[in-house]
Amino acid sequence: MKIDDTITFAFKNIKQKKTQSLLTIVGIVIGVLAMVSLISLGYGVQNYIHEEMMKMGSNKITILPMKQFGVPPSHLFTKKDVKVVERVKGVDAIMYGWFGSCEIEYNGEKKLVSYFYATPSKLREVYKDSGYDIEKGRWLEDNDKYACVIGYGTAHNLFDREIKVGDVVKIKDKKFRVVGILKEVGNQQDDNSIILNIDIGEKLFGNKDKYNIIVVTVKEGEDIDKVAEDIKEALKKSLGDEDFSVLTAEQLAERISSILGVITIFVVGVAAISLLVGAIGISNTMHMSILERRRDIGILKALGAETTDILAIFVIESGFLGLFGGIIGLVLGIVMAKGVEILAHKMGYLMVNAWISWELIVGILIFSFLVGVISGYFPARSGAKLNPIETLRGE
Amino acid sequence: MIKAKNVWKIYGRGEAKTIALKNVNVEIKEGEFVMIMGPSGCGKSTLLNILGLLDIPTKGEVYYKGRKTSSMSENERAVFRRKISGFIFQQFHLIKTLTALENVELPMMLDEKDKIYRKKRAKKLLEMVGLGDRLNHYPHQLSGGQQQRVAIARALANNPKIIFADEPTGNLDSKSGLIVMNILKELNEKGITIVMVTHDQELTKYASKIIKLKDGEVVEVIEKAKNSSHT
Repeated sequence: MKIDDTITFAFKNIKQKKTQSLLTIVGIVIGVLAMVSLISLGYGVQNYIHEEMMKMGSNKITILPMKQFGVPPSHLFTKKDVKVVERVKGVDAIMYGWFGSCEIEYNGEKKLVSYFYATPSKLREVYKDSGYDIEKGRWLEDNDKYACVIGYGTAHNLFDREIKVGDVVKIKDKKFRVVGILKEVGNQQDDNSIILNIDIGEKLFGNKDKYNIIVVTVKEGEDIDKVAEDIKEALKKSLGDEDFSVLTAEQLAERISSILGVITIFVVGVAAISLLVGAIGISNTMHMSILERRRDIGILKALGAETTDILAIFVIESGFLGLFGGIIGLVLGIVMAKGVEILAHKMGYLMVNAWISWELIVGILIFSFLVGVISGYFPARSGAKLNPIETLRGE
Repeated sequence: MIKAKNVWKIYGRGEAKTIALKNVNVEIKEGEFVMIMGPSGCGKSTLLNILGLLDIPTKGEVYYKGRKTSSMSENERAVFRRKISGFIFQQFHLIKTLTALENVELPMMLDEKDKIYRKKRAKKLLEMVGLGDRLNHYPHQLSGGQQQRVAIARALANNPKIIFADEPTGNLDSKSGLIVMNILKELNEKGITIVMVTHDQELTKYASKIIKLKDGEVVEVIEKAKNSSHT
């Protein structure tokens, strides 16, 4: 039998049992939908982070007092360490400070925000042209005391009443005047933030001469990886251990991406399980449908169909069921990912992006067709082997 | 043309063993109209299926034009079934999802015939059996007699040399049965060999040879001069 005739024949079968076919592909639809939306969002977030990291500073090196993310620091940096880093050749500007989270009070409401304190002039030097722009008001000055700059989210989204420049917020019962509001960055941690001057910050949180972050910029023309390596060496010598990390923007992006990558693989794995359930559904339907059509198989054999003809008819039928499910799942998955993106953007999570590419679309379609083919193969093979006499006997 | 030599067909084993055919020797010559007769359960259909290469004998050999068929592969048997023979069944066995025209096209489809040729020939065959106005009807829209005529047209699709018919009139009223028998007679007169299973004594008048079976054994073979059949 020619391939086009086989396809026509298989299509007639699918059309004949529309409802059953539709129910069968629901499993595939859900699996593909989950996979498409999760892959698309997972990669979208990774891409966004990578881009932002690069934008934030391809010439920056971040130094943290722990070997890995998520591990509590074994020791904190001090002025002495800052001096060590500062002296490394190729280091241009240096900024050091502390980031953590605290409660702030405004208009009788208390909310948790991330705080950061550093020397304002140094902060600005390191982060100039890095997207940390002031939307309203002004930046902190080195002689500011009970003044603060707040993130976009802190100002506009966090409290029932918006915070305006000139308003007063309370941290640990101390009053701080808001002098500036930052532009939207796109992630909650950065947007729901408050920035203080280092002197007042140290006093307020009781971390005198202790820093959990150092950021430096590298002089133009210097090899950033070389400088990072030198910083590592210098700190190792001065601290006597290696419980810290020196990260370039590239490395930082990679670290975050790899963590997200693991999460993505995990959720895609979950989606794959639902796809497997879908595949078993197709397999089951093909099995039932072959049982229902034993007579047809017998007729085809009596008319001179070869085993491969019958196998092809059923495998193509299940392949197309898989493909249809894939197409519907793909469309719904893209719609869902886009929907999540739009919703997330409205809520201020600019980092949530749907990543849709031709590779993803073509890959998913081929994949779903193959899932159909494979799940149809075994029932089809047992059907093709049926003895025509037995299937034709009686009715 | 087709020769069965010492053919046995045994189903099951041990206690459940049933012998469907017991050392059967028959020969079908070209141009004959053979009827296999006998009470139900005597192995008529089994013999027909074995002669039509739809079934395999447990013991013995079936020869087609002197060639052993036991050495044929499954695919070679399939080729025989679609190029050399045509099958007609008591239950018509049309594919329900296909129209009359498509059902007749099916054997040609399996034989990878050209689409335009296929359609033309299917239409011609259906016109020949008097169903020129039922081309796009589905089996359930046709009467039993009409369905059987579609099945005959389908059996003729690839210009077979021999037609195997298993009680083709068994499910039909006498008028439809007569139409079917007349078509088979005409085909036989055109040179197509016909092997038919029936238990209807009335129909023996069409036959040129009658093989009588009882309990899986050939009990009598009657050969008639061809022109002696009177209809």
